[in-house]
Amino acid sequence: MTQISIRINGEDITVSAQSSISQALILSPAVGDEKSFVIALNQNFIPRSQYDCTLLKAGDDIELLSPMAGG
Amino acid sequence: MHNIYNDGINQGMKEGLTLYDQTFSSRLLVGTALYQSPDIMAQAIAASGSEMITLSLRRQDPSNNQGHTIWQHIQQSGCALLPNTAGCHSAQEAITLAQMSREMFATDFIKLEVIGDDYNLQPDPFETVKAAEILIKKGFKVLPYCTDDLVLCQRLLEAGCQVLMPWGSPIGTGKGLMNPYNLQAIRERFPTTSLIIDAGIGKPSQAMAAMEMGFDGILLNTAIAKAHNPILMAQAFAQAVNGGRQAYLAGLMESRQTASPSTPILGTPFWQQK
Repeated sequence: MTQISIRINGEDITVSAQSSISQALILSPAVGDEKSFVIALNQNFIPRSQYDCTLLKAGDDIELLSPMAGG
Repeated sequence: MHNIYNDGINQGMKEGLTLYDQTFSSRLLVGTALYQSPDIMAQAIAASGSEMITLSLRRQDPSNNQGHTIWQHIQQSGCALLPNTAGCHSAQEAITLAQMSREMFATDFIKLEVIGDDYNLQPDPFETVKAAEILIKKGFKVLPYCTDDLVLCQRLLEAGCQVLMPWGSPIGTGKGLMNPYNLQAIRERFPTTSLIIDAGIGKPSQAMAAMEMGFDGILLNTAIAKAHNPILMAQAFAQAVNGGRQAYLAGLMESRQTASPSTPILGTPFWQQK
């Protein structure tokens, strides 16, 4: 199966072509045990309900963010 | 004896801080950053009496659990959440982060922060207005961090903001109210808008001064978090904000150029010796 390269929080990872966001997250070390996170794909917000149906292309850039202190 | 003046002031103190369709009895909003530990943060929040606290979204380091611990303490605080868009430099970045925050924190409130210059973290007025217009249309309750520019405040109100958060001075400086004239002008020009001083407050006396001017609330972080004793400082700020509000409701005397004796002149002793 063709492999493509995407980025999650600045780290390159390789996934199968036509992978969904959900499938890519399983392979990402950025996720770890973290349950509380939200996602932007190429700087656009992606609701959690669309993780399964949003398919990735080569070069896609995922930002995965979690709660943190702030002022 | 019944005091008619107390009725008005007590009523005024009970009215609370209105932020869109919600009212908070505390007029002090505090940040959750820069504390020595999550436990001290939680104790300081409780001591401040604050009912709304700010927080953010960041990339999580899977090897560091601190963000998770802070998030647990924040959830346990029972406070309403005011996520920020700190670090954004464009309207588009701020809009995306606001949407992510709404899903993560299940709130329409957003502290809109679009930075125009990294030297003094001054808000970008143009991008802030642009982001506010779009976010309001998307149903957000926008609390924009802005400068003390009267026309910028006007534009933000026209965009649909019901709350404005002009800076006292740049974030983290503790310099207090840099431009009291500008702030007073904003207060007088928009008498019914909820106005919160956000950023630059370093001392309780500065928070009190803003409240005496008629500002509706104070948002701060560093002055409490970086105090030698953050819990005691949180209490000090809570008292200063309340005291300033009471003084505003009570009505300050007019200042004057020349001295005026407070003790009656009539019946002054030793008068005949002069």
